[in-house]
Amino acid sequence: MKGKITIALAGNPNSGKTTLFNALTGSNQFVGNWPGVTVEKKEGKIRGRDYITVQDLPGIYSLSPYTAEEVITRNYLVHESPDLIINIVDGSNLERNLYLTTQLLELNIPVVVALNFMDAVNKNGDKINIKALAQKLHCPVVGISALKKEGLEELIRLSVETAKKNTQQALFSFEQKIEQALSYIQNIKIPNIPKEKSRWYSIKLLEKDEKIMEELSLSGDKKEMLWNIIKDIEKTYDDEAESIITDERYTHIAKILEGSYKRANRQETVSDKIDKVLTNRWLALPIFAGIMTLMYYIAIYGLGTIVTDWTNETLFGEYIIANTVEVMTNAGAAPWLVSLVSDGILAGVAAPLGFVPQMALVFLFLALLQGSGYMARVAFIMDRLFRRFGLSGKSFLSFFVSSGCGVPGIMATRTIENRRDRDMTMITTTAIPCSAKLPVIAMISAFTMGGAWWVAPLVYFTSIAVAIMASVIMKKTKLFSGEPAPFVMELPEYRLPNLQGVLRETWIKISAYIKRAGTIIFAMCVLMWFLGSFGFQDGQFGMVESSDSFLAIIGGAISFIFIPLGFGNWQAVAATFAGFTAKEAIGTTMNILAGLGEVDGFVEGGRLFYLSFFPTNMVAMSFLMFNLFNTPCLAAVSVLYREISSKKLFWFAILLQNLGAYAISLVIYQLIGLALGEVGFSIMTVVAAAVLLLILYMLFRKERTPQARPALYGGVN
Amino acid sequence: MPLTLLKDGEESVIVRITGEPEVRRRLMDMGFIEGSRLRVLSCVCGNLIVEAKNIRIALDKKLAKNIKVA
Repeated sequence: MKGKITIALAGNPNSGKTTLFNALTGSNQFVGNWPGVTVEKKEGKIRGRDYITVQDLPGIYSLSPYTAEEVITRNYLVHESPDLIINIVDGSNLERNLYLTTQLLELNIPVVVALNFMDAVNKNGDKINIKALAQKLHCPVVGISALKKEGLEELIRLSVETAKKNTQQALFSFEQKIEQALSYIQNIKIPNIPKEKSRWYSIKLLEKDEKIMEELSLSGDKKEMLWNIIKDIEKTYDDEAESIITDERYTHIAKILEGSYKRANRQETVSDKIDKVLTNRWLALPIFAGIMTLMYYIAIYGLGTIVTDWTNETLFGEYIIANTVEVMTNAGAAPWLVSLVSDGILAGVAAPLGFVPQMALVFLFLALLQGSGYMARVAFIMDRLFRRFGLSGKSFLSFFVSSGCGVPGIMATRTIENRRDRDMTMITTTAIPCSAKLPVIAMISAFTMGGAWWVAPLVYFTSIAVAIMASVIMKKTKLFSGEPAPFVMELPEYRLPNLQGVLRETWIKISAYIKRAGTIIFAMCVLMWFLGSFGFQDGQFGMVESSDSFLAIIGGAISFIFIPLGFGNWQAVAATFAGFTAKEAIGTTMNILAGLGEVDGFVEGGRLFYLSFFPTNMVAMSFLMFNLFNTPCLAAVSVLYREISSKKLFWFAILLQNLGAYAISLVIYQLIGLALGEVGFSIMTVVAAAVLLLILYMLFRKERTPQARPALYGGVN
Repeated sequence: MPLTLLKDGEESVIVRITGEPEVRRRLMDMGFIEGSRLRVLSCVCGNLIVEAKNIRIALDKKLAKNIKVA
């Protein structure tokens, strides 16, 4: 029996790490709940070798993390001490990629270098002498192509062999003066440094790594000793300590590559040519707008609708539900049971399931854009525009992903360097309608506008505007003021997306969604059906008219809050509350309450029921606006709770989202309703006007001059 | 002079990287090394796409000013 081995996969972003991970583990992986653009820690077992666990880690450029996700990688490598690191290196960009390698080799963990994209290297005409490289790096090197699954067997074999070694020689010694400084640092005898990592810690301390200093919580005198050593070395070299170390590393890399690597002359690459068009100063924005429109058009109106309609009307409506009712009735099931199954469970669960095709398409397109390398360009293109509102282009990426689902949208903020901007983006990003809100949008637009095609795009643009305006308002407060973090991002080569990888990515998200439909939504349906069908009548518990049900009582008790928004009836309130568990439950709850056996979002036959919920179009719009912008679903809220900087900010976010949604609905319902003659003048008109003025004031008031950062952020970014 | 003064397609050598320690670090980690070459691939309203260490990197204008070239 072989002992268990844990292997960590580390490498630069865009070095093909995820492809390698998938190739190694196949379907044999365990994925944390919702991987997004930014992947959560993913674990898997190597195919056919269950004793080897592989840990996929977010891409990093160095062991000095800059973004939140890079911190994850460093902490894992330093504190979890895997048995082996497979350092995946982009063979077509050896020099920059080896910069990380030099640092990984200092962790005293065995390293195997996997040279990826060997097919591209050969095609370019570059020559890499793998043997010489391995000798100079003091660690095994294997040429692979993760995409074509070449060299993987050799990689696994060498990894198993190397993992037994237990130690790893550091790559090189720095210049003597630096080595001396490092030994001085070791002599300070700083507590809490594990012995086998003392060299790595010393280097980090010499580099003035703030997070490491914080982690070690140095005492005053030790800190002073450290600073003296650093000052000395900086004086000797007349340079910053971190620059000295970086220079040393690159000097050494140059030595390694001498004689083991020859780079062929490059013509203008295909990527350069594509970039000339896609990032062209005039064409970039129109092209992106075109791609986005096309994407949503196909996903929501084109292919998506056809498949979704079929699922809803034919598969569930005509077939499954009708037959189930027949079979159950024939079998003599109790009426309440038939009602539970058909009106409660099937009607409720079917609607979100019906949207799976549309959702799958949105996720598929996002994965394609990500896999092709265009996503990074999108961030760059939008950065120009977003910087005007005090946001970075990376915030836009989060917004974009949120149009699929807010959960990966919130996770995508991990690439935002500045913590205030990151928090702000997390708070606003769920205002972008996710695919689970599509049914609600579809339902309301079918009811009010006869399903006009332009309603959904309009809702998208409104929501982007709301997210941006909320950001502008927040930026002008003391808490979030300050310039957005500088934008710097690698633009990977354009690649044909790996179809298998893209499909896998899409499937992971869709299956999580389906699972949710089977669990949370299922439970919610049963609960809503129960609350909506049972109650006390004449002092007797039992099935009652829905107007006498528990739900009517509970909803009715709080519905007064929503009277100014127009939908102060218990059904709409109950649907809103169901929406907090999952947004797709809004539509299903409405249908359950309407007693519609049919499960489509909105059917003409249900118009009467809907009219009792929403007497006018303005009421329906106000209801839609409130449900779009209020707190996202439970899943997103729990991720928000985990990702946001502080608990205080979390509650601030929840409050802001709900008050904001309320304010928007109030203004729209009262003022536009008044203009259209649907709503009469009342005290609420005045309140709405005041709210509108307040929003406009906060939006257009003069920017605060950036002051000392508030204490919430402890004085650092 | 700052990198922003280079025109599309121009090449130069990085002389100094200025700015906050964190930002400097990041630029160095991504391959902007004093003494090494870089080339401007395109310039979109002051935001730049440059090539350094054979890698394409997008930068905003303000950050580009932190990189001084010969």
